[in-house]
Amino acid sequence: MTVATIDQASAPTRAIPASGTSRRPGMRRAGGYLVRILLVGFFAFPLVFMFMSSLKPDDQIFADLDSIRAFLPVGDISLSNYTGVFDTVPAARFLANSIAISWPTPFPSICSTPISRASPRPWTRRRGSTVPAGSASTAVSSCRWPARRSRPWPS
Amino acid sequence: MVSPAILLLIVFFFVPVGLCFALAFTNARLISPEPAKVIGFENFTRLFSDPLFWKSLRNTLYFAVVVVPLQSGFALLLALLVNAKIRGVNFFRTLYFVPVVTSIVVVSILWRFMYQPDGLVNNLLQTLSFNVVQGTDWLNNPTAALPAIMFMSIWQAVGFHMVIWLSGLQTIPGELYEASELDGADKWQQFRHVTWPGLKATRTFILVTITIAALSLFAQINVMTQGGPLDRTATVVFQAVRVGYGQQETAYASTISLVFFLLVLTVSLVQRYLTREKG
Repeated sequence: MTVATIDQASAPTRAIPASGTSRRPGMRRAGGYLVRILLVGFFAFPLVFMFMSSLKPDDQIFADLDSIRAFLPVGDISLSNYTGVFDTVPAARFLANSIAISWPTPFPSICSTPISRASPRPWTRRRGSTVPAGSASTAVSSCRWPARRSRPWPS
Repeated sequence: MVSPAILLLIVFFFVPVGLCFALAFTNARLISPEPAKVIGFENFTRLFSDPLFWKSLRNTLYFAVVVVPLQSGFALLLALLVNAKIRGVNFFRTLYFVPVVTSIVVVSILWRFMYQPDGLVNNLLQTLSFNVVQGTDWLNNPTAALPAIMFMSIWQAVGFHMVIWLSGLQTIPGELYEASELDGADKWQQFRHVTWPGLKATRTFILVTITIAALSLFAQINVMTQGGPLDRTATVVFQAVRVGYGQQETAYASTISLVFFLLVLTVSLVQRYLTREKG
């Protein structure tokens, strides 16, 4: 009896804001998406700029800096910077060295250090996820390793 | 089963630390015809009377004090955003994580280019503020150089800690949220009484790892400023590398490393103590 009274009493008070709030979840969701998209811009813009600049000659990079063109593949676009990498330095050798150094690195740490115990639970919860995790960390460290060598290349 | 772990610990931890400890009491140089001699605490006396060491220590602590709370807080916000059950959540997670996968040296070179007086950052600032805000030469301005590096470091590393927070968030049972919703808790109350206590272990892990990473600041400084302008971005690790390899003073660099090791150990132990399980 008491429960019924509470339900009846609360029903009209719920009904009034219900019509008002029906638009709110939609607006809130749209706002949430907007924030997330702005954050994508924040995290991606230096990398987009880097990628677009890699397709342009030096003088055009500086000419485009003060406009949206810095983020767009416009103007004198080519892959000459990429071919230049292979012409000026032994890039394939550097890549092979990086992989050779990085490949064995993560496995000892996964197998034999307390890091494996401290790793996030979803990564270790399922049986067999250690190998994919190890492969992923190897791939990541392979990408990161070349840059550890911050000194100029020996001629 | 434990012998590989013990062997690795001996080779990669105990031997280097022992060597570092021993070298700190000698006058060893990287390349020298003279054999190393034991000189007692001379390196420590020199270190503690070196104004550059204190300046480096101050810069390092300043970096850590600013970066640790900002980065962990921002990472938690991102984790909450990408923990929602919405369409395209994997897309957002991936893009927020992309800077972490990019090499710190590549990122540092990129931001050094963007921080130039006529670089992208100043151009963006001018455009967005309708020419009200004039940029500066970020990396050559003694006041702006370290904050600029802080901003870049947070941008680069926040995605990694977002993933750690996210894993912590996903271990909190959904029933707790349902129960709190039935009790009439709003979103803030749910965060305060369900999410935050549920993240205790993750919090400790993140606090310790960000602090250690912040205190070990090196790559960004080495690529972007080389400790300048006016040593305003010199850090303890950068100082150890500069002295050890640039000036070939192995013993003095070992002294810096040893003092730095003790500093990090102390900070980590204090953090562990403050965030321990009570009762």
